[in-house]
Amino acid sequence: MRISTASQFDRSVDLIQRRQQALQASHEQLASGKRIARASDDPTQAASAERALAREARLESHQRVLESSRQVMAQSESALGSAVDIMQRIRELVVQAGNAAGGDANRKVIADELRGLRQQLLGVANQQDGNGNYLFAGQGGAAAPFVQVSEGVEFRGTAGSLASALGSAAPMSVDAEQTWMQAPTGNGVFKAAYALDPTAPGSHQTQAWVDTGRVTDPASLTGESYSVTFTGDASAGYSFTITRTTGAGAPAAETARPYVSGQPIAFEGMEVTISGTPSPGRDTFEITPSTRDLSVFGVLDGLSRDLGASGRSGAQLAQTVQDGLRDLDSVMGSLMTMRSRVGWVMEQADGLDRRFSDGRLAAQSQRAAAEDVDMAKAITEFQGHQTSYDAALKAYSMVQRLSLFEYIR
Amino acid sequence: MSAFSLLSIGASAMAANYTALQTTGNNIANANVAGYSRQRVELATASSQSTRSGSLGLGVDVKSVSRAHDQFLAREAASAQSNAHMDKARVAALQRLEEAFRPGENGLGYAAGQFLNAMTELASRPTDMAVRQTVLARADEVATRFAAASTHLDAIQADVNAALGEGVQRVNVLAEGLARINQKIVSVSGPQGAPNDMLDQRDRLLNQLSEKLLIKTVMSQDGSVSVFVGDGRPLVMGSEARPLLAVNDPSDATRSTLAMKDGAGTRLIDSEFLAGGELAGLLKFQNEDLVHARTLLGQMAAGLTAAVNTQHALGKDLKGQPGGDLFFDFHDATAPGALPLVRRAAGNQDSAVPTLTIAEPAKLQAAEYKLAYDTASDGWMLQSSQGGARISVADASTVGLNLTGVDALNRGDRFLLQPVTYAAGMVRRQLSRPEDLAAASSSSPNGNALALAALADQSLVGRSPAGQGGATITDAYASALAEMGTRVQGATTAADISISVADQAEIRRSASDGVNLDEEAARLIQSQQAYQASAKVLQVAQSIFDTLLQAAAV
Repeated sequence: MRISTASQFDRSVDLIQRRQQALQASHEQLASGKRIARASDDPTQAASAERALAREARLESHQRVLESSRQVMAQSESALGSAVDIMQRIRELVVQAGNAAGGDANRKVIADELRGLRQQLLGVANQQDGNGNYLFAGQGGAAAPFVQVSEGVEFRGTAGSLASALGSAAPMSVDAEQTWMQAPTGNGVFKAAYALDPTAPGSHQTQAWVDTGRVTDPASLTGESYSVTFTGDASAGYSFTITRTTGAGAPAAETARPYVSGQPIAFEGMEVTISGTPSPGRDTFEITPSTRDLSVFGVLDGLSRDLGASGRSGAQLAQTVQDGLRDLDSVMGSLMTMRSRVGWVMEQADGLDRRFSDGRLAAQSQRAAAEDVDMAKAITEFQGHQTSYDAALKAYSMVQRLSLFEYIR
Repeated sequence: MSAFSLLSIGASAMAANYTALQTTGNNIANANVAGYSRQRVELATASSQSTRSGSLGLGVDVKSVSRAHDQFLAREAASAQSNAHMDKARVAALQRLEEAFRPGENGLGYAAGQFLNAMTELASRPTDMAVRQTVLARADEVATRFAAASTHLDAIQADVNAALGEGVQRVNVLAEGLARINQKIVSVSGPQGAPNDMLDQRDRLLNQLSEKLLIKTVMSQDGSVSVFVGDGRPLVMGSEARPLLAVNDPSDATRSTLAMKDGAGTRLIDSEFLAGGELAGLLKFQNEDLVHARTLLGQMAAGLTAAVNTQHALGKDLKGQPGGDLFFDFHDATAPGALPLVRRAAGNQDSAVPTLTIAEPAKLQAAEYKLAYDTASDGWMLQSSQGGARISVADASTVGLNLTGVDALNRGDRFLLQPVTYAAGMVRRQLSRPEDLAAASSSSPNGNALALAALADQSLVGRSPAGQGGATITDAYASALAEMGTRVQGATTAADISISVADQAEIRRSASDGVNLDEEAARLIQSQQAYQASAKVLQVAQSIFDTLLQAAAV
């Protein structure tokens, strides 16, 4: 078959150019280190690399959120620790005040100290982080969350805690209302209290007091409120009547039972112990279901008021101290529970951070695997292209010199 | 017996061999001229003389100087060239188009992902002004990258229009040249046919024309060649050339298409009938690949901005007011500068236009729709640019559209619906102040920021008619990237194949028609020897004559 000279040259040039192009492409890969400079180099790998990049960016963003959360949690934990320390001191003081040998003046001093500690506690509750945000404002706010009003301390923050994009694993704040304002009253199930306010006009110095009470049979609990009244006198003995004051058919009174000071009174799955000498017709004790609205500051304000008041009977003092210790334990428990929860969250955050780091590494590896060039392979290919380009050039120089005209002189 | 006959034999031989030498020399001289067909001298024995001793030859005649030309191979090579140029033009344009879809940190998908990631930081610190500024800055980045991609596509469209214009001009110049040479050939042709170099020149013009457009040629009896393009439009008829025109596409004036003038006016050439050549490649790229790229980008733009705006409106800003639009809502027809969604075809009788609104942005497809009345089903039907079955107006909601006002339309009119085609260029941040970011929900200061951040994992783009499936914004970009890359790859492979086919066809053609210098060298020697021998014959004839004269002169 004939080959025209012109097309021969064209073809040779074309082949050389193709070799050169291949060499150039190989060189570009080597120099940039990327196998995929544009999507058309390998579309599926390019898409895979793109998705890996998106994952990595997202994980990085999550890690930043986690870091913010950890900072807040650490500061909150430390603040709660300070608060618990203050509460321990307060508890010691209250126990001290319960010692009847102290006297009114002594108790007044203790009440003053209590008020000072209570102010410290308010400072802790209104603590700010480094950025001017309040740690215990619930879901964040521009103003201090715990505000002194005439009746005591009001919580002006928001309910709940601030969630982050990582959900409950990395909260951005602590549930402040729950921590400081929502401890359970009483013993957690019911609250036994003297029904009348000692500071109200016309009240008398009672000589009886009631303890915290306990649950004997949870299945028999009704969740209703009761009141205990007394009849009788010192000579004939006292009797008490338990009247159910809420619920169907209320009021429903039981038959009177003889009263013995210090003897447990059991009814409806509950048991309380009233001690001292009751005043029939004037003393009433109330048992109501516990509510979750015991405020740290409310407890402290009540304690410092009652301990500092003069002219209280021994029974009233005993009641105050006992109720105080009961409530202190309740609010302290609330603080400590939140503290340990924060500690647990911080521990989980460590694990989460590790998982995010691992995830990022995996995404980066996937991206590199898709995009980056395998150096050994690329160098080998480059050398191969170099050799074939060289061969094409040599072949050209040898073949194109051949011509019949060289020989017919 | 005549000394003259020997002389004349020698003379004829010398003349013939000299002609052969001349022809060979011409071949050698033109060996590298593109499209040159080698010429051969056809020698024939001169008629013989009958004598008593038998019939005596009277030398040699040059019958003709023929041109090696295989019509079939030439046509095959020309049409293979058309295909190769079509594919090459498309590949070059696609490679430029691909630059609008960058992978990695410089790409659109990364910016969109980072914008939604910034929402998680807003959720952590909803009142922090610095974080809010970051969110706005990231929104700007998204808008910038969408706009840059859109501008890139606009530039490519402008270049396509320019290239088509230039190509059409070139076609017209070539057509004029063909017409003139047809005229010359017809006037100069003798019984031997046309002059070889003119035929070569005409073939060269035809080849150059084939590179631009696939042509059909018809040889007429008078020796002229007529050229037809597209669906049988005459470009060159004998010595008359009809101009080809590049005009605005009547359905979308930013695009071009080809047309020719005929008796009735300017008639468009349907791009489907342009099966080869650079112009066909450019048109295919413009009508398929460029449109698809635009709709891919627009689909993502619409899905992202609509989802963000909708969620943002559910939240409250720092002043407690409901959130406004974060991104400009280009689909809101009442907004100034909104995206026009419906184009009237230029040839429509009425000026009435249907109203297109977007029902569900997440269901929008990466497509445009031709709206035309279908008599068979007695209703207006939408034909997607992505192919597939036609959709009735009532079913337009399956692709996220709501079309009204079709009853008032003239049934002969046509419309082009472009819900997403130009959307990418309209992405910009609408929200101006950081305090206007609606991070809060009614229950918490960061509830809406959390919901906005969650959009990164929701499918915002390309849901099915039932609302299922679809892709997140980053996945949608990765898929779009891969899709364009696959197109380029496919086009590159097709171009490689068609270039290889064209090369092979050209080799075969030039093998038959081209000059091989070794062959010419051999013939040179052959003719030279023959010439020398003929000269010797003359010399001998002359000496015989001298001898005769001497013998007679006594």
